[in-house]
Amino acid sequence: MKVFTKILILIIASVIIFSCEKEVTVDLPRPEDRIVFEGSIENNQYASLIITRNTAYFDVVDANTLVDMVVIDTSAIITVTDGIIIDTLQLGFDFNGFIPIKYAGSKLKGEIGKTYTLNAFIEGNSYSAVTTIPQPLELDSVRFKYNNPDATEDSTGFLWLYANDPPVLGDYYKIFTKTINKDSIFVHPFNSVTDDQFFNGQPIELGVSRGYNPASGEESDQSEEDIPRWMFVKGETVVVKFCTIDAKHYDFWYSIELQNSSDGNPFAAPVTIKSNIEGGALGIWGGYGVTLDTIFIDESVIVD
Amino acid sequence: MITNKYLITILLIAFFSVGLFAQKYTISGYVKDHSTGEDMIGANVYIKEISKGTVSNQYGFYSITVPKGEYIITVSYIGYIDFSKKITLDKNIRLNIQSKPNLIVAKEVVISSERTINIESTQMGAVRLPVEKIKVLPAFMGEVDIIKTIQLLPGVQSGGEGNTGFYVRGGGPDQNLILLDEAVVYNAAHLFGFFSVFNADAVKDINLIKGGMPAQYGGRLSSVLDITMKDGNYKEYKAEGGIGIISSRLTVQGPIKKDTSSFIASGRRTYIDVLMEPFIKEDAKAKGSGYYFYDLNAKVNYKFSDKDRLFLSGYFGRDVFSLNNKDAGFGANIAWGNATGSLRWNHLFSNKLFMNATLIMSDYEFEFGAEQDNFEFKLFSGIRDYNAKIDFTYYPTVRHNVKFGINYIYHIFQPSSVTAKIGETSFDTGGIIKNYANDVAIYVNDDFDLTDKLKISAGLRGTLFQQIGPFDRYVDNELGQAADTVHYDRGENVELYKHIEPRFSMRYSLGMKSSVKASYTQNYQYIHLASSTSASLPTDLWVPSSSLVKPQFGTQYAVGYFRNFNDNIFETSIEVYYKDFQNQISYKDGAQPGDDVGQNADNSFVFGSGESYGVELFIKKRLGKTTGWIGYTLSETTRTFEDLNFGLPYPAKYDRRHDISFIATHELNEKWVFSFVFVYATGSSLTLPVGRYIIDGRIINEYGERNSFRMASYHRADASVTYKPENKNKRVYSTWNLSVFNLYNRHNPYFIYYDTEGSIAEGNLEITATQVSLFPILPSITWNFNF
Repeated sequence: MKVFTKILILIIASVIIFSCEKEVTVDLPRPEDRIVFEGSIENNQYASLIITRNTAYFDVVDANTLVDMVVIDTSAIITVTDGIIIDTLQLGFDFNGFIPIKYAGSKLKGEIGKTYTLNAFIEGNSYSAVTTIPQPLELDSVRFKYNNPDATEDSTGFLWLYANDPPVLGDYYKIFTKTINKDSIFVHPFNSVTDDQFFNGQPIELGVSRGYNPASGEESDQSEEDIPRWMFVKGETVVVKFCTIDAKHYDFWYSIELQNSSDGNPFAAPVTIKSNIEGGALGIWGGYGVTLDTIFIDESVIVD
Repeated sequence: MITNKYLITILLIAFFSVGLFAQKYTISGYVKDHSTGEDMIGANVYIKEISKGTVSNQYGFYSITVPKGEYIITVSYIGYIDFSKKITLDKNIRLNIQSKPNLIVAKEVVISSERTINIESTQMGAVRLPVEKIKVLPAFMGEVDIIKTIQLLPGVQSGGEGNTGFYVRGGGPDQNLILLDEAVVYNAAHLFGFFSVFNADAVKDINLIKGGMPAQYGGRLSSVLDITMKDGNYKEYKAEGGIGIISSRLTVQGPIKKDTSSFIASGRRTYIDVLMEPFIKEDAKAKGSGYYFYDLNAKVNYKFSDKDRLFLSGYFGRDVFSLNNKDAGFGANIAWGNATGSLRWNHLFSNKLFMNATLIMSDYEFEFGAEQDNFEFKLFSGIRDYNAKIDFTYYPTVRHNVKFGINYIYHIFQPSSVTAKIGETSFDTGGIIKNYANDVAIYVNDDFDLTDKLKISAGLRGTLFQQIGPFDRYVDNELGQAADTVHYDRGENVELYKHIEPRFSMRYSLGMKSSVKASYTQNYQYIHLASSTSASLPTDLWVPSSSLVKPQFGTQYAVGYFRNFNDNIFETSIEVYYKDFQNQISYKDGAQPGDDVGQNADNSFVFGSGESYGVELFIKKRLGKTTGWIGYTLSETTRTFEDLNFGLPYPAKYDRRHDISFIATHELNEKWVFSFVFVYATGSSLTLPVGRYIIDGRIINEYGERNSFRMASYHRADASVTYKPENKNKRVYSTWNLSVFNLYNRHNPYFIYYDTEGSIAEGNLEITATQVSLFPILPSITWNFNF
């Protein structure tokens, strides 16, 4: 459907042969200062949380301002609890992350089916958020399909995940992959979340492209070997991280991906990003029910 | 409800006061154009002795019943010589009047001393535009456009640069009832709104009502744009047409049987695609891509007797866009347009009772088809109406004009339906879903003189709307997923709404030259247009009121002061209005067309209310060598939706604080006519991101309050010259029209977008705003002919 909107824009653009463009100064009000949370907890993992702040729209983002966006408040108190144990998160370094400073837990590991509450006291304000780790869904199999099955010299393609959606409506999934020796972290495809609205209780087939690591600067479409960035290649070993998430967690990522896809479309209605943080902050506190599968892409997993 | 009772009482008093007077006789008949035999709509028929009169109806019929006596009857119409006749009324008289066009327009101004319609009538917020006046105004790319002229009136806002969408007193584009020969036109735009579907050559009369809507009209909250097609020349065969830079037109008309039956057929087609074709190489990537639109209008009528007439008229128009990309194996075909047909029967039961019975079909379709390799995708949407109605006009005495009637519409809605297949394999996309509804209205309206100074128009309209099966209601769970289905069988009641709509307006006369008017109206609207984008696109969906979507409800209060100067050469008015809208719809934040597939479209809506108020100033010079008007509107329009903008009121998309238009036409002599138009409007509102933050190493936009940002103001001047060369061979008359759009080449904003440079990972991200303007200075020339 997005294609459809884009075609319409193309038509309008081609019709408007007289149009002209000029740079203008837009006098925007400064946004209210807000704290941005990006936190998660997975089964068998400690909680992890990045805290940043927003900036004015036209502020240049460079190394210096990026540092300013990271909230470092030594008097901040950040806790995660399952209702019994309280884990106080500690500030530390994460050299793989785009933001290299994050808070991490050390006492409480995520458990399937449990609810976790985040409480944060930062710069004089209190925030809270609640998430759950839903029951993970085991994949039946992971396969590989050639992008172009007829061309013999082309060994690129996409992964296909097969599973059976549980009978009750209201399952939400998010997908990550990590190509061994190529990706340093788990990356997600451009559209990484889906709900079971159209396949509730039925077998699922999900095509997966390769995402990029924002910290590595590989935003360009081509990687070094002239292979498109979003393709998997025969001979690679890929770890698939298939996650179930709760509804509010899904709404957040869905709104993010919707905004990305309508970015630059002047006719699209603006997309406001959802959040599950109480207290006037932006962002997400989300639980993941994770299953991991590893696939070596060879003839045995290729399907037409 | 108190208002309703009050209105019923007034209506009853009005009915019973009929016929309490002495011996009376009726003078009635049709007002026609002497040279073509066309009925004249809205001609002022006036009896001087009693300072009272009437206005000819949509079929040119008038009827006046007064006590026995001698009278002078005068018929006046702008651009025509006043007709006056002394009559002795001692029996009922049938008088068909043939008015002669005032060809030497500018030479001498004939001043009628009677009160003009704007001062005399109870109707406020209404404008009638003669088509001939529109034709000499500057035309965008040479296309004479009725709706763009409507936008120049106070209280009417344009949808944006070059856009034929119009917004009346803060109402949405779906709140205008656009009628072409009584058939509803659902999408009056070609080419995404740059041109309207009405071919001015086929149009006789345009009447816009933006406030004080009388009870015979309904189903929309904001306005009525009632367009009447020409009947065709009853006297002789005529052909007229024009050749312009983007399209050509041809109209033929004439008598089938002189003075009894006539026909008219009119066509228009753009030819950018045809002109471009030879310049596109055979092996070009996009070979086979192109765009065109066309319109066809046709009408025949037959006069069986002085009492019975039959009209058959139709309109068909399409926009066709095809896109081909050979390399990508991709092709798309998009077509949309309206079709209407109406069959009407006029019958005179007596010289006081006029009836019009109508059968109407009205259809709007949008179809999008795309193919890539062996993947086929089709999307349809549309609406179709079958409509039957009977309208009566009853003229019991000169003091009363009673209208009553009944209207039934069967609606078939087709929200977005998709079919898709790869090779021979079809996908389950929920199939083609249609919604059905019955729509009934019954009304009565009396326009009467309560005293010599106070005239009242009071009416009631009862409406009933019923959505019927077959229908599947998808019941969403709290997570917005269709969890359950309720099925309704064919004809089964899904939802029923019934309402009474009171309509009231009054005029209090302050002498011959001025009057004060006030009006109060309530309207219900049972159909809704859902737009998911900020531009008006042909994909916008018409949906019925349902269990989720409550009928739109509007209340309007207006008062106005009307005054004429210099022997009615100048008409001026000031009107103040306040309007309240309930049950407005909008798509949820971030919804896209096609989210509805396999769902009920209304499950993606949110609901809210609106408010609009303003002052409209209008100064018009109606007679003389130089004519024209100045309109100024000061207004504010807001919307409040619980689920949008954090529940706070925000400016509507078409909120304009100031709106000014200036129109002047100067007839130098019989050869040269000059026209000038200037418009100014406060910039459009839009929502822009005010802040950014980082999630997942990517930039996320933080939007400010909805529509809180204003683009630069819109202003533009256009000019035109119409030249009629001396007619040498006496057979072909031709005129040249040279128009210049956007005289001083103002770069009016169309939209603003952001350009991003650098990358966040490299730490050099910079954003600039770019404004896109559509039309620079654009001259155009059109050659018009008739013979």
